[in-house]
Amino acid sequence: MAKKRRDGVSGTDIDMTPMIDVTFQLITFFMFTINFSEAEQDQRVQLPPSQIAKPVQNSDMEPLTLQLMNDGRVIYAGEPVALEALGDYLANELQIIRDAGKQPGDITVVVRADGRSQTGDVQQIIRACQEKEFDKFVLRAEYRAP
Amino acid sequence: MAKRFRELPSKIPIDMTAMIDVVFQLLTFFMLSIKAVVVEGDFNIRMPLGAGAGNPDDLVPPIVVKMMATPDGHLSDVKVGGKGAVGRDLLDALAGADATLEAAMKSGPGNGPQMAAARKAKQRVTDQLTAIIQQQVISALGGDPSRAEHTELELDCDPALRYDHVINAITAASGIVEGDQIVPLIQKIKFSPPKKAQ
Repeated sequence: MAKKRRDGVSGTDIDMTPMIDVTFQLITFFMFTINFSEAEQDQRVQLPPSQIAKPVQNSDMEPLTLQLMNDGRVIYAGEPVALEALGDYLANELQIIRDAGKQPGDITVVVRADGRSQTGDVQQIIRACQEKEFDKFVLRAEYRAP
Repeated sequence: MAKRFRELPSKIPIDMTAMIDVVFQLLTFFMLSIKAVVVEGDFNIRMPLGAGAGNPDDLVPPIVVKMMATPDGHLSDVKVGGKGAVGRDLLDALAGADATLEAAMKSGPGNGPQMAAARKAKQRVTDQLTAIIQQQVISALGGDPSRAEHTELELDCDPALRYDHVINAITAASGIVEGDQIVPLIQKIKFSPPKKAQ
């Protein structure tokens, strides 16, 4: 007994290697699975489900995402705006696109509309975009396995 | 000299505390900022400028899916290529399932099971409707799905219609689910130009 407790080993040396290994594994996992671009999945919009929606294709061009809420307002750049006012925001957007030397036809407009919203509102969004010369549209749905 | 070059200990203890602190900070950050991401998908729709003026190479007339709605947005009738397709009782069941789900959602987040049941019930009715619309679309194609490639689908919807019915019709028309595989059907989809009386 006395031999084992030699003069006060204050801190026992724990081998930390496995713990650090695991921790780094975890960090790597979370770093790869995190996807900041999905931050546009807004909780205020509940997409309608569909079994056969094509997987989202990421083009090199940043798409223009317009989200239609249940109550008929559109989330543009994180802020809800009235559907009637959307034209002004799109005019702004068009100016930015033109200044960057691109054409509005190159940009895909992603319409994320709530399943409970009115079809007329969706069509109104599309029309507002067409007036500003956007003509590539995708309707986004939530994929639900068959 | 001899004093400086003391015999080095074979193992140099590195103080890892700082590193582990940082690593745990990072780990916490990533763990908290991760979100359960829902898988999403897209439907392309063709809405060229000056819609209504048909393309000259579109010789095949589009299949028109007309969807009418009650004032509160429920589906009141579906016509594929001018033919009525869906029975009254199914439409009523769909409206009922919608209302049940709505009520379950309104009653707060506390009743998950009730909401899940309502959602499942709605899915069941919706699947039936999808199957019927799909049959109609295929028969409008003359029973030959391979003709779908050159055919266009036109959606003519009442403005008040709930949007999920539109996605449902697009789902029905743009592919057949066969086991794990999806046989593509009509890929060119557009909305009718809005009616004047809006």
